[in-house]
Amino acid sequence: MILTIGNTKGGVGKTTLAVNIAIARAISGRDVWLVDADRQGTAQMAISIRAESEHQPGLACSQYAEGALLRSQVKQQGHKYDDIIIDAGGRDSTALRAALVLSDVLLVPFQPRSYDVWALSDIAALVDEARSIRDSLRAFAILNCADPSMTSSDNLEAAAAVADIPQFDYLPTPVRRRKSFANAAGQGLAVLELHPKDPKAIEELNNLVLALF
Amino acid sequence: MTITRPKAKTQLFNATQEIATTDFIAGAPDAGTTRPKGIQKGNKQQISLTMSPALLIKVDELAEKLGLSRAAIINMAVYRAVEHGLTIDGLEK
Repeated sequence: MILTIGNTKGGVGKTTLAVNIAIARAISGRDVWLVDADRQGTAQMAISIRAESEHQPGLACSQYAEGALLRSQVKQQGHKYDDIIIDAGGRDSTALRAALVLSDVLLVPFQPRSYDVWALSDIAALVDEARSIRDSLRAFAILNCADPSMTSSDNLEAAAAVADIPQFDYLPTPVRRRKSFANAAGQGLAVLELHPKDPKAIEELNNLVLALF
Repeated sequence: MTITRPKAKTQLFNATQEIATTDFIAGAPDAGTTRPKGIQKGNKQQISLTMSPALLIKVDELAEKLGLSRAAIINMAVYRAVEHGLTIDGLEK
């Protein structure tokens, strides 16, 4: 399956989620290719840190910031992997568009903040355009860096706002704002591998992966 | 079976879809920033350029006079043309 984690807005936690999901899939025995479609190359950097510290399982990781190249490479090499996770940068780019053309599923992370909710319509417009030239692109919006409180009204309101955007299905497996996600991703690890363990973060990641695959 | 069914319509559809797909990808704001194909040397792109020997002699003389390289003179002249326009026979281009 080709999964793109993308949003035209930056700073929503795309790379952190992409690295965590890719590693979680690799741990469950899948052959994973993480494609960094962002010029900043953060995911690529995280995976190189992982490789240097010789963490197992290893992940294949490539960076293609240019849409045409991303598309041709994924078409050419894609069949060699069970799962391809594409981390597509925080702006409208050729790479993000190429990822939308290639993917089975688009996961759009957003934070329970007004600016994030406003920006959802931009990526929704791109999803519309992608759907006009291809079939069966499933698009999910997911709360990332959600407020840790289970009763947070901001979480509920942000989730409700997704209902106004018909392009997305809301995925009810929010990932909450926890240091362990960022700490793990910075070391090229998933929260599943972090010590000391953060059981809540692990549960959130597992639920998300289960909902997606 | 000796009669092969025509495939033209599907191929046509695929071709149209391919054009739509490449147009969609190239429609992104960063599409114009891609470099032209060819050999890159550091931040520059290597090109092959021919010019008349007489003009080349003049270029080299100017380069000598200004203490610049031939490439610098050519780059400066092209930059002026691209950024400030050309005047050919009194017509601004």
